[in-house]
Amino acid sequence: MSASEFRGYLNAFWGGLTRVSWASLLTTVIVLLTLGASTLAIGEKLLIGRAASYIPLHGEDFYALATTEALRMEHSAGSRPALVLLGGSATNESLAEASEIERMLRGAGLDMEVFRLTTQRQNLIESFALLERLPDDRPAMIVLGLGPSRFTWTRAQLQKTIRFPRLGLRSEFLDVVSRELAMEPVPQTGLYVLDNFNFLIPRTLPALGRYFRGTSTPINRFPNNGRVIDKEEWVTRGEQIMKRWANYNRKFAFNADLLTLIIRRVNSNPRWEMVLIEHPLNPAFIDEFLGWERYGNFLERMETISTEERVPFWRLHVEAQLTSEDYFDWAHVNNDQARDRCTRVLLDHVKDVWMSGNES
Amino acid sequence: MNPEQIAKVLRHTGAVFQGAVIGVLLVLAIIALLATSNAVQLFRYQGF
Repeated sequence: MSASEFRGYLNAFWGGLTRVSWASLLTTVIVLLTLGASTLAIGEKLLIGRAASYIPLHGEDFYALATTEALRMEHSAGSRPALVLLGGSATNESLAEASEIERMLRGAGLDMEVFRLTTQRQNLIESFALLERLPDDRPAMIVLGLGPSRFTWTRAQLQKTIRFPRLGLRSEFLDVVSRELAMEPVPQTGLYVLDNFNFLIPRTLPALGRYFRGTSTPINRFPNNGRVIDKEEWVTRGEQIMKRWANYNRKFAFNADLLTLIIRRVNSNPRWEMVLIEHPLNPAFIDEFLGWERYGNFLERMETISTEERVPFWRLHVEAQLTSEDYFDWAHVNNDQARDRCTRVLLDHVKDVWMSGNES
Repeated sequence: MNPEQIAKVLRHTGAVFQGAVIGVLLVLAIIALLATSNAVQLFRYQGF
């Protein structure tokens, strides 16, 4: 091939590349349609396995972690009994990593698979959505972390978490729950991508970037470890948290209805056991902001729910003898020793309940 | 294949390449636009 021939070919290619033509327009349309159709075909199973490590936006994106973990719980063929941990950030920071809990359980003679489904400020609608992914035929113990703040969600805020979910787990079952609570359900298409648009869209480009770089998101499960709060932030946080307590009685009743729905759903399955745990609560926060009377009132109500619904309510932080020095702020544990104590207390109870359940 | 036919094939290859690149960029741009609007919604109420 001569140099002029080569230049001619190069010009022809460059001409095709730089001029708009029917061929280029048609290709654009085909690419758009193909990518669009492939995107719609993406299902829940894509978020399990390796993809799960690309999905979290950052190290504390517990919504993504809980979503992928719940999907793994649903689709994995595991037959070991499951220990499902639900709750907010205070519960999250009071319990050891799943692998560590599994190791401790094995040491106690229990072979269980642990699913850590904790997220920041998890509400009971979200707990329900996560729990729904537990297969009915799998024996399981469900541990739900609660504190007085869990009952401060308003109907409007919960409605918003149905309309703009933080988890990628929208389902028809949630619609049923929404209707039971007189909340407007969101129409479903049956296509995972469309039904979980809010969850997926912000995470897509960062996840693609990590996929092509071959790096996963480093997870920071205990973001408050080693942190000490200063006086100014302590007051700011305390006042901010206390804003949740406006109209507490009305909010408590509504959220308690949700909790009852969850407990009854679990108790309707003979393979499942449910326990409620009180997540850590800094006594200094009760002293300075919440007040012991208000707190006592919460405990009384929890005891009532526990008795009426026949579900244990364990106060881990009391049994683990946590002190104010074990906290970063109002409820978040800031050291491994305190976390280890809480975990051990929980697992001692889990062992007792599980063993007695399996004997009968 | 004579040189004219080769040039024609190359021209079409260039056009297809252009179309594919524009298609992929359009998809990425659409996702980025949607992500911006949704990310706002996503993070705004995490602080409830």
